[in-house]
Amino acid sequence: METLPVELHLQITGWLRNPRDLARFTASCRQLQSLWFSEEVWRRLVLDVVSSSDNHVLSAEYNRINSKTSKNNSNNINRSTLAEIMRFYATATSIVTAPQMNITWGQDSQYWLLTNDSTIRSDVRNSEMVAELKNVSWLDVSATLTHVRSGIYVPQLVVVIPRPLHRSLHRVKVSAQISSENGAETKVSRELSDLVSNHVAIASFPWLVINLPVLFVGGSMGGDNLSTVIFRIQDHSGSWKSGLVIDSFQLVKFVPAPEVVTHSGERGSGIIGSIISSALNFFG
Amino acid sequence: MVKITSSDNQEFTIAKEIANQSVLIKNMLEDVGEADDQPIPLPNVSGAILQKVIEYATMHKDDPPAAPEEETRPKSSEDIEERDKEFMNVDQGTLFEVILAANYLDMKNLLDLGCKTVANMIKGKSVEEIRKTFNIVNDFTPEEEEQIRKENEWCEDR
Repeated sequence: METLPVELHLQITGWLRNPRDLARFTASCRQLQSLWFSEEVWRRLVLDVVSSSDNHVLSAEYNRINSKTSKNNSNNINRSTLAEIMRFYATATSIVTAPQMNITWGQDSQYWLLTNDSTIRSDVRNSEMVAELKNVSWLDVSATLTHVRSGIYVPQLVVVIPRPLHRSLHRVKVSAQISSENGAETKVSRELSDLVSNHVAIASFPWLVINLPVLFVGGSMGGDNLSTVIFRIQDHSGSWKSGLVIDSFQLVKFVPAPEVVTHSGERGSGIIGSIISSALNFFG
Repeated sequence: MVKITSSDNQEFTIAKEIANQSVLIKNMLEDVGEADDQPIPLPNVSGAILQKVIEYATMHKDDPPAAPEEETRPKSSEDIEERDKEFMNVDQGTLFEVILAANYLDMKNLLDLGCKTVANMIKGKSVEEIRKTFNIVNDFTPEEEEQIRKENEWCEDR
């Protein structure tokens, strides 16, 4: 590896799309570390991440950070900006948007309408195109996120739900399930009525970001296995259902607030504290 | 037919369509013209590696010409044809020499293939595993190592 000229190291890093891989590769020795400081590598990395069309959240974040830090020279992406974006990337969400979902009857606009409805704009929306439920009895939507790294995540559904929640939608099940290579499966699941009941009116109205219970991905100690998470919205009962508008599913990495975990004896209290404790126990 | 010689003076006679996959050779041929049947010296490539490169060029001689550079998202490193995967199933020394040869001979597809193969060997590995895989000597001081570890905290899972 050390015998290769720098331009070939650059070529190789060009194929490393995951910043983690790049960071680890360039941390292996002095010569390779110099790549980590090269403008070319960072520019490509960031543009690659930002330009991925399905990642509105990240590009919005990029624009926000970029406008904040480099007002005077907008063409020049500086390293601290990039580092900030990468930190965001590390904790940010993995997202499946409506057009990427597998929607039963989704091809028929009489049942589901894939629409670019700008009248229901909101900051929490991830997708240009949203799936609007017109009328179905067999409700089945699934979305798959692959290459999910080990960690603690909050699965979220970004959605518009008619208020008050129509009776026919009460028993719609929303779930997130991990299927790992060793066959072990974990699933969190809630009925829509439970999920919505404790939601107070929020600024993003009518869009709601609904949290499912925390999901632990990749339990094996120090394992670096990638898992697949499957989201589902399901109700196969006979009643006709309508009114739901789905934007996206997302997995948000759960990052405990630093001050809560600094003292090992006292890990905070309440729900957050207990989640952190159980998380820490879970990961040894 | 075109004659080429390796750094260790092995001579190869290959079809022009195969030789032309190397932009370097193609340009040389255009410069010297048809009449000249002097072998083209390739002092940067050994016979064994040249053999390997010719094998690749022969395998791909019927490929459609590459589409002009597009502004689309570059392909993933996982995107490798089965026969190419097999072709690249070689020891690491050979792999790097093929990459160097492809770079020297200006054969973009082969260079990409080599770099993708290396990238795939890096993916998902820890720093220590990467060092082990490529025999990279850790030449950082413990202080530097600690500094890097801190900077890279975000890319650890726990």
